[in-house]
Amino acid sequence: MRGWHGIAALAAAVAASFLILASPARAANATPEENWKNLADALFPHQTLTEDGTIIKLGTPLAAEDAALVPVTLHMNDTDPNLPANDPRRVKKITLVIDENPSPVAAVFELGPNAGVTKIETRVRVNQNTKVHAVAETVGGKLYVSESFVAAAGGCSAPSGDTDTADGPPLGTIRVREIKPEYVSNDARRKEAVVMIKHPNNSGMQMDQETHLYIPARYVDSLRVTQGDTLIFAMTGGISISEDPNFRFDYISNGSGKMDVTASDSKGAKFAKNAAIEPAM
Amino acid sequence: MAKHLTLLVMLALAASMVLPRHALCEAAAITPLPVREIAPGVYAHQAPVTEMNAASGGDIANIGFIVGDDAVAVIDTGGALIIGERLKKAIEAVTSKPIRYVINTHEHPDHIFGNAAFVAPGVTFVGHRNLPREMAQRGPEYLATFRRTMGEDLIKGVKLVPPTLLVGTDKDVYLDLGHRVLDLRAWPPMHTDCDVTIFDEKTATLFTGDLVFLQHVPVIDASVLGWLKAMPALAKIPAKLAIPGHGAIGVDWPQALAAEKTYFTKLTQDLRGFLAQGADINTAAKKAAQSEAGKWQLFWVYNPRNATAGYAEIEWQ
Repeated sequence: MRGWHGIAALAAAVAASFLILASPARAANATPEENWKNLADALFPHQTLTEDGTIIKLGTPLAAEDAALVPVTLHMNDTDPNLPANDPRRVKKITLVIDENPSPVAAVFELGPNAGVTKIETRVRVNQNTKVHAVAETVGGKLYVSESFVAAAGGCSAPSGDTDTADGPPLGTIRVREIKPEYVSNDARRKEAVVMIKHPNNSGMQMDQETHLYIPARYVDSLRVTQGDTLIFAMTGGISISEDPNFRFDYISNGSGKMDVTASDSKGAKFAKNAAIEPAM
Repeated sequence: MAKHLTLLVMLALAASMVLPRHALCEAAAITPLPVREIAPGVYAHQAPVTEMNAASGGDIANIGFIVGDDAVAVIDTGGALIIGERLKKAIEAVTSKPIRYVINTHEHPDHIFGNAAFVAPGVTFVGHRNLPREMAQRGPEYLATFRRTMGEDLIKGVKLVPPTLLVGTDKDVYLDLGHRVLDLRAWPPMHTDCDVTIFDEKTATLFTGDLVFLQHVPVIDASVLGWLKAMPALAKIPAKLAIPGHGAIGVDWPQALAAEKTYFTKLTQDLRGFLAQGADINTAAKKAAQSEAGKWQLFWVYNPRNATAGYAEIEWQ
């Protein structure tokens, strides 16, 4: 029950931040530094953000090869991957912010207390040259930040391909792709997987030429990945996540042979997948 | 040719008598784009293999025109208004027949930014059924992006002119220029979501748009798998010579497809291999298709992007 309460609170927080941030909050002539200060003040009022790459480290390309599909990697507690659930240094929540995007909060991740997640890689849209921030909250209640810069243009309004709608699997299809153990780590309990959701994740910035109306935003707003009853991670997301949301992550196997994925989108559609996985030795 | 030149000189003299001085200067600044007659009545301009920026001035895509007994069809208009204007001058130097059609092979700025040069009564713009949508969705961003990279001077006259005569993938559209019929075919997602080829039945010459790249590494903006899948159908077009969107023009058909087919095959093989090994998207983007690097120009500009998008596409297979 605590988990559900946590998700609800998270969702409410993100919804609130969208209300603040999706509106034209960004002052037209603000510098990137001023813009981030305003965002940080709104998202994390009266709190200090510390840089510490051993707690949170953000990986982005310097320039987006494809602005509609920019890989972003979050590394958490990389140097202490097996911190216990109650260790104050353990990261429990990460907010991913793409400062110059129309809706800057791309996603909020909640990490399972016993899942040992040290890496989450996803793909985002980047609308223009921007700073990107990952803010981690630890069990001890401290906030840590990692910053990077991406050069890109036009990722939010790039139309999604016809290919997917024509030939691909239907909207809401979820796949779990396991990375073979020999490519993961020496720790036999540590596993890595990719969760993929077939979804246009419309940004609401793509125009329908017939009607000249913008296609309404429809995006995956929540995702929950568990092994048995144990949370690996949950995500609350927005329009900055790329089409066909994709999450690659590592975790400590609890011996379960199942991975459960549930997701919902902003129109209220629910998607689920119960995938058989190879339990760790 | 001499006759044309004499005519041009006379027109210029006449213009100098009636036009205000600044108008004459502007008119005189526009030099015809160099074109080559690939087959009787089929003309094409071979652009350098380079990128859209101030230095290239928007002249990076192969464009051309076909002259029938009654009218002219223009095929792509270049990456700046001035390129379209220069193509128009080249057409006027060859024929006095009216321009009836302007065909855009797809949505990319290097092929459509010169459209405004041809807007006139009696001119119909032609393109893929998806082209108006793509222009509307991406056009504003294209203008903003290339205003930054090319400079205001090259962009200020550029207008996005969407087609009104549309070609669907279900049925070819035939344009009659007077004893000369062009077969326009719309393709499923390959280079973009709105690719059209133009086949001149009279001389068996094919304008491929960017469905064929030579020298310039192919750019995949829609689907590498779709491109590979449609390639046999593309090869079946009974052309003798082809004019690719980039690289050498007037090349043998279908041999012109061989180089890019090898590239796509290598790229998809590598990506499948990386996916099977558990390599992440960044690694794949850096390493895929490296054995092709020496064969193509601009490889490092576009291959990582092709590999990134290809990884995401193949991951769903």
